[in-house]
Amino acid sequence: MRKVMFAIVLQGYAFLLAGMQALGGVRTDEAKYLLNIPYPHPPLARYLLSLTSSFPFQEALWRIVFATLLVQAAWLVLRMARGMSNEQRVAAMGAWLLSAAVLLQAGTIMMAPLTALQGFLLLVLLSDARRAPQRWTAWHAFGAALLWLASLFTSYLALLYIPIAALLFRMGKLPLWARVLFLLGPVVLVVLYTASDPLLAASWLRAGSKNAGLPLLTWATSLFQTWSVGGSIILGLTGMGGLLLKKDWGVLLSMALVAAFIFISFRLYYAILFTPLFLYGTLTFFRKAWKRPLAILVPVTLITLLCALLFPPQLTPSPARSVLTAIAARGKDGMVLVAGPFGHEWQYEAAFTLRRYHQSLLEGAQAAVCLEACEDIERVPGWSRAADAPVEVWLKE
Amino acid sequence: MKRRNHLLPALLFLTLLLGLAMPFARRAWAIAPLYLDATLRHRTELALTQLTSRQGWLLSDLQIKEVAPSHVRLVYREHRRNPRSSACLILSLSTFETRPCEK
Repeated sequence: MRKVMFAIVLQGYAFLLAGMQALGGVRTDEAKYLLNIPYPHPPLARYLLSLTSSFPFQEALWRIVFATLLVQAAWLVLRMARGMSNEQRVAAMGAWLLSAAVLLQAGTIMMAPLTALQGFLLLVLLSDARRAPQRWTAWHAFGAALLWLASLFTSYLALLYIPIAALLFRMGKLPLWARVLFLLGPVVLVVLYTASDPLLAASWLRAGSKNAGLPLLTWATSLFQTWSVGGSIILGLTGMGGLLLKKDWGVLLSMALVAAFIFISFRLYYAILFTPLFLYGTLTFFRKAWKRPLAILVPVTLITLLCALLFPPQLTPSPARSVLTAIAARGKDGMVLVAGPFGHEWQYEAAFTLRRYHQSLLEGAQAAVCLEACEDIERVPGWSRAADAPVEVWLKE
Repeated sequence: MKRRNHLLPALLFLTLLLGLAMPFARRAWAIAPLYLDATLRHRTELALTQLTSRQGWLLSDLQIKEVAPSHVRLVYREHRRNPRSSACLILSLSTFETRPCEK
């Protein structure tokens, strides 16, 4: 009964976090996944998301599912902390739930939280295998290989956890060829998938060179911010401390890979990729050096609140929803043209065909959204500017 | 007996990988000229840029299916909630004009 009550409380927390993210509406990256737009990640998760694209509540559904997965992962923390004192288990679970990364990212429909969760599952399997290596069979390795394959086809980010997968497939008495197959077979497959779509590869090359001109200090500051959010600083310190105490080089290597990737990518939402690694190390730290760690929750909570103030989640939606709803309410047919760079949320919210603005397309259009100047539109007969729109909008009479 | 214990899951996994690899390999083979021929790659990029600019399309709505020295076969698929339209097109690399794929 206590477990059921606890699951309900956790679910309430998940609803709250999903609700908070819903205030900001669909973001460009989220729209990319919800509409199965084929970049920058492999298709597994985005394909599953897109199966529900005709549901009117698609966004809410996946926010709740993603928040639930991250919050209910607290049970996995308890599983990894088996054999520890109640105080240590509560502290570890609380640190997961209250970490800035979980608070700020549960309920976002992004691949990073999903990949972090898959990394967390790999760590749970590693923890189980290390606890009872004699019970780790080839079928366990097969299950882990399926998880590894699914993770890589969810997101390329899973590659950052390759040292953990390598540790996992070293367990048991598998012959070398089977270990190589389980570990590298999925990697070769994902490379082959990437080669089959040149626009996918091009999107990564473009993103990779975007920050090349920035000063080194900016890169380092960005890494520190992301590291701080990943474990509310405290979890980061205890996590790294635990891994160093245990000389757990494989997991440390994975952490270094995550750090190196974040160093060049400048995205705060990658912070959550650190969190499972920090938690894994923190459990070791508790076992070896901190028997009464409940006090950890105070600084973790305070730093999480500070992170929420410094890096608040987006709480106001982009104008896409209100603008496109107002256009749809006119009940006319025709394309909507958008001038200037725009995010995929415009595609998500559009009930009609959406194209980039070009004067030659005005004839088949019913409206033009001018995020940048719509060239010569004021000279085209039959078009007038809409009043009271949050951005410049022109409508065909 | 022990050997057979690890053989079955490994072979099962290998079969799964090969099954998944086949369609990817076929698609990669169809666009291999893009990776092997820099001139063709540049020409394709130019043709795609012109096409998307002319039509107001987003590059992410296009998927290259096949590349030949004279043309590119691609699928244009609108990404929105529904209903979506899609079309198969042949894009000429000499004139940059499109025509529908033959059935």
